[in-house]
Amino acid sequence: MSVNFNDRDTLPDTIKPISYDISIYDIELGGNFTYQGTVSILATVVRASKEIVLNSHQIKIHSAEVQLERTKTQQTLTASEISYDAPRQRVTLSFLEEIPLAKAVIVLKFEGIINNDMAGFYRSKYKPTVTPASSVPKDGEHHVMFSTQFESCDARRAFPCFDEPNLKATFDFQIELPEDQVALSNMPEKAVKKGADGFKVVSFERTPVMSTYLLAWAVGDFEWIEDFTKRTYGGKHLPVRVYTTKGSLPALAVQYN
Amino acid sequence: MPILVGLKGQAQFALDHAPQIIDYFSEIFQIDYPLPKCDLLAVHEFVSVPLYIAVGYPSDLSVSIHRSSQADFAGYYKSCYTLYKFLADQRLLVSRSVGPQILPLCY
Repeated sequence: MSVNFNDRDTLPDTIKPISYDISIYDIELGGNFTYQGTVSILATVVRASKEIVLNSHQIKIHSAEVQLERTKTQQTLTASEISYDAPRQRVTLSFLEEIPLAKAVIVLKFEGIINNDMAGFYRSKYKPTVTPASSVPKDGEHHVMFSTQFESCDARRAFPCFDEPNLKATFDFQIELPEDQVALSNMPEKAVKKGADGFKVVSFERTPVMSTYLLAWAVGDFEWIEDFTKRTYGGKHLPVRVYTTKGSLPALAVQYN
Repeated sequence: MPILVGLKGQAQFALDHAPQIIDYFSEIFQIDYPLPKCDLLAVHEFVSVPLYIAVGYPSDLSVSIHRSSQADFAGYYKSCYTLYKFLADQRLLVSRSVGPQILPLCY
């Protein structure tokens, strides 16, 4: 039995992502909860074109360029026009010359909002049961924590990307956050570096090849409890942790049985 | 052991069950859990559906979970089912990532 795919409105098949390198920084802790980001997408250009179409929703793109690896020299093409198609949640980057069939790195600088719509990168209100870390921002009367919800099509609301599940890639993620808070993502922490005053930059190991909607991250005043699987994975019992905002975990006696 | 209520109860419940669920799916699908860790995160505002590894669970389950150890089998079942569903979905997604490129039909 054949399946009719003609009713699907998918991105043009001119380019296929290989890996994403995402950096989130300058989070506004209060007010509009905006953040700045840079995403570098290594991709294969499958069909030569003067345009690149990505998914983007409620994101403002400051700049877009494509870096081409040519023998020895590096050529950079800067987008001459960035046009949004809001109803279809897409953005088109237009270039004056054709992007050749090769590997290319698309570098986008953008701004987003940590919204309160429970989609994309969003904020959750809560009432702390213990004194929270001093940097924890407030939204009205409540304190807030940040996390993501990308399934099924809201990764595009956190960063511009090829947000279709068959366009799989690896993801390197890093985020700047206050020193007294915790950042989580799919993979284990790789490094912690000093950021702006009172901030740190946490980076995470590269993910397996996967769909955009599986990427996840969170920032908050978290604490955790841990247990391990009985089975071993690669010779190790897998650590399983439950994170909550501070003051919401069972007592230590229970924690370690 | 005392029955914990609210978010504490949910956190303990998740920690009591998630490791077993990961082992269970690794066994029945004959595919090892692919990442070096599994974190679950209690998200205060949430609209169902799982994340890949950072799994949230909805707070409306708190009532059913804290009663679950004795009286409320329906609640216990519902809570287990939710965790299973989160981790099962994660498992299916992994097999998809190496299989044919099809659009997932989640839910």
